[in-house]
Amino acid sequence: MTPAPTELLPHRPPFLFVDRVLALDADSVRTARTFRPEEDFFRGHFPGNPIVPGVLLVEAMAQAMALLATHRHPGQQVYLTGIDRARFRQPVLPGQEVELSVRVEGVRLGVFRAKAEAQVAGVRVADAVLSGLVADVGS
Amino acid sequence: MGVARSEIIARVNRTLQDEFEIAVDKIAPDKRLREDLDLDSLDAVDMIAALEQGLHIRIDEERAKKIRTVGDVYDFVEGMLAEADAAPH
Repeated sequence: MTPAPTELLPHRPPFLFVDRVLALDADSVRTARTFRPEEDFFRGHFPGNPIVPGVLLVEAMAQAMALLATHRHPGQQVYLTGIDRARFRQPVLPGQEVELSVRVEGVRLGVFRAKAEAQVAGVRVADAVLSGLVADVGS
Repeated sequence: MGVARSEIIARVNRTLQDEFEIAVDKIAPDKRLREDLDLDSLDAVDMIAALEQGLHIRIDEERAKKIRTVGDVYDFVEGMLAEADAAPH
């Protein structure tokens, strides 16, 4: 039984980019997020040609990482400190469900480093290396 | 001074491993970059940048577009290095 996203994440709509936790263990997490056609950003990105902004795919990856970090370090939170090698390989369209996979590469000096990948129907659409500082809430 | 082909192969293989985490046992001259190693056009750009930086050469993009296999990469880099060597300094 996987937890509800809001049990582990402080994020809330309209800035919650995890609908469901598909799998969670000590080193990795898989989450899902459907980008619904009625979401506000599609009106402007782009008019008549809606595409999920790449930065929101990164945010969805970062939230998956945050969820994993809090699972590993209960009572703490991860603050995004770096995005490396982000690549957007395919456009994601309204209504598509994106599956986010994040795997921890290591923790150095309290900084979490993880590899993240987004897929739609088994096809990789984006990937990045993320880092985040694990710290007490509000610190 | 020319760079030995074995050194070129080693450097290209190291780039494939370090940049794209391709397992060493998957790297062979006949492997196709796209179909066998799952490298896409964005990866190709990254590979060119990595090779340019590592080998201090400027890669001709039009010629690079013809690269299909790992063996093509070896030949391409060898050719580029030979030209760089032959050019007046």
